[in-house]
Amino acid sequence: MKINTSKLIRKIINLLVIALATISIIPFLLMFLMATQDNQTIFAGKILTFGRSLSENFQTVAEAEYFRSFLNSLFVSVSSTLLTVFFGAMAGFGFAKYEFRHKKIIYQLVILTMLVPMEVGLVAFVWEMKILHLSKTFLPLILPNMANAFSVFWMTQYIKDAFPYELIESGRIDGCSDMGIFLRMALPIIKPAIFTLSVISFLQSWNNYLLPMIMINDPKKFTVPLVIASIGNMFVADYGARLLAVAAGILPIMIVFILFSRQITEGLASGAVKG
Amino acid sequence: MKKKKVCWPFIFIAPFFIVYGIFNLFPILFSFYISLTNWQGYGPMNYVGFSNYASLLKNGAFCKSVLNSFIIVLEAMIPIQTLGLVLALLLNYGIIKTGRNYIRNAMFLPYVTAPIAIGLIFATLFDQNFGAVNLFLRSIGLIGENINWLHTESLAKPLVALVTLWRYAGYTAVIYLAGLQSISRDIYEAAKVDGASTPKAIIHVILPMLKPILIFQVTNGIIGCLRIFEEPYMLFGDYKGGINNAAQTMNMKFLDTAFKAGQSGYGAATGYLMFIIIMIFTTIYFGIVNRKEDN
Repeated sequence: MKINTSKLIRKIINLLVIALATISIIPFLLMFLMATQDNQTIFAGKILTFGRSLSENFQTVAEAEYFRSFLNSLFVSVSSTLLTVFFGAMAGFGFAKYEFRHKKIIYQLVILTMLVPMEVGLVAFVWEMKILHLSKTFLPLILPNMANAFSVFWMTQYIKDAFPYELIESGRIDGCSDMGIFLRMALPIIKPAIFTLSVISFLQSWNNYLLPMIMINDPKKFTVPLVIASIGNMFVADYGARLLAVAAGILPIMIVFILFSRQITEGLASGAVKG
Repeated sequence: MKKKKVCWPFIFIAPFFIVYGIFNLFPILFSFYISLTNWQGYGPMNYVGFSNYASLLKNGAFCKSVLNSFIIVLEAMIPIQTLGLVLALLLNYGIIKTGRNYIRNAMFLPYVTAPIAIGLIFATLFDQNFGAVNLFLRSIGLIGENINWLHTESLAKPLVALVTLWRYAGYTAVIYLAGLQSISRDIYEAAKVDGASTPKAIIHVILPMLKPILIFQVTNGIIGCLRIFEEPYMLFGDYKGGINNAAQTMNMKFLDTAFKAGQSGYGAATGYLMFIIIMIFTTIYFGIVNRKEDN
């Protein structure tokens, strides 16, 4: 009898948590539903039905040249990801596989940079980009990613365990330079880590709003979050089109997440747990 | 041969420091100089000493934004950490058997979504006239008249906290779960064999082992939450944070001053003060946590 009640309680808790998880995705479901509707349906409070305005909304969004922001975002995110991961792996390799003076302090400095919010230097960053004539390009959004402390930290942890020191020795005997060992031997071995970190960096870059907001003034260069932020002016009183634009903007991330949810959750968690 | 050994690690880690120096360290240092001027974003930078800081500390709007940030942190962090920890315990100790993957993925989804989009979705859901929340509450008879969620001063901060909770609860649970999984199962079993009940085993044996992750999580969460701006910006439509600046966070005040109002010198000082406040807070927090350990 006692076992039965405790079993029942467990079942109820399980159901409650499933309900809780469902609350997490209800806003997204409502967004997708409303994206198919026109104002009339939305104002009439029939938001739980499938609307018939999906193609109309899509046309409105496409005519506003919304999809150019996709190309911009794609360009920025892919370049940022490549730099983040490559230079992260390189520094990680240096920290994980070499002994040098003050290594511990230098490594801690890298970790420390994670604690300094980028907002502190933002005013001078904008000024600096103007001086360097980079203001009108995407470079201010891309280049700083070459120094990503999270990625260095993450790669150091991974390479420590994944790449045995003996491989460096054997590479040297074969006449490889250390850079060659890194490029030809280390990179292929740490492929799983490269993949996970790439997905995470891509997510972060795609969602980034702060830097683009401050650096980009030309609507032709807007990234997806910038367009979403100014969507109120774009589709003045067309809520269906607005939500379709939001839905389209976050759909790539959703797909990436659904495909690679295990790598993303475990990658982020292992980064936090080892910290 | 020996020289090479000194040289290679330098080549591998130098790019990080060079790029960090150019794009982060230099701007951080130069922003401090700018914060000592009355620069407007163009024209000359006139040195004015610490007068920006002095007037900021006397500025009621800035102080209010600091207070707002801390209230939002308090309102958001307590439920996030509690819920996250409870969920992780339930998942780790086999209470939740059905739908584990669904639960983990569904609750993690908000975290990977752009905060700017989340703000807009919630602004739509909480709309006074056609928002789903009012619609739902009316249909189950909880309210007679639509609530004006977004334009009621007392609701502004709880609303931001709610959106934050929705966004971070699942993420926090996943991190705690990873922490729990890194603790050997034998320890838990041993405590049970010694006659401890399940809750006792968890409170006295497992939680102390989870402490480093708990501290890291809470610190990280607080620092992140103190810098929040995208969600309230999209919820209330501007950097003022709703009626009477009720939910204007530090970061919103900083962005508003530095980039919307064009007061670069004053804005740089705001950014620095925000940083200093976060640092002081983190130091105090660590002090408390470490002192507890000594006892």
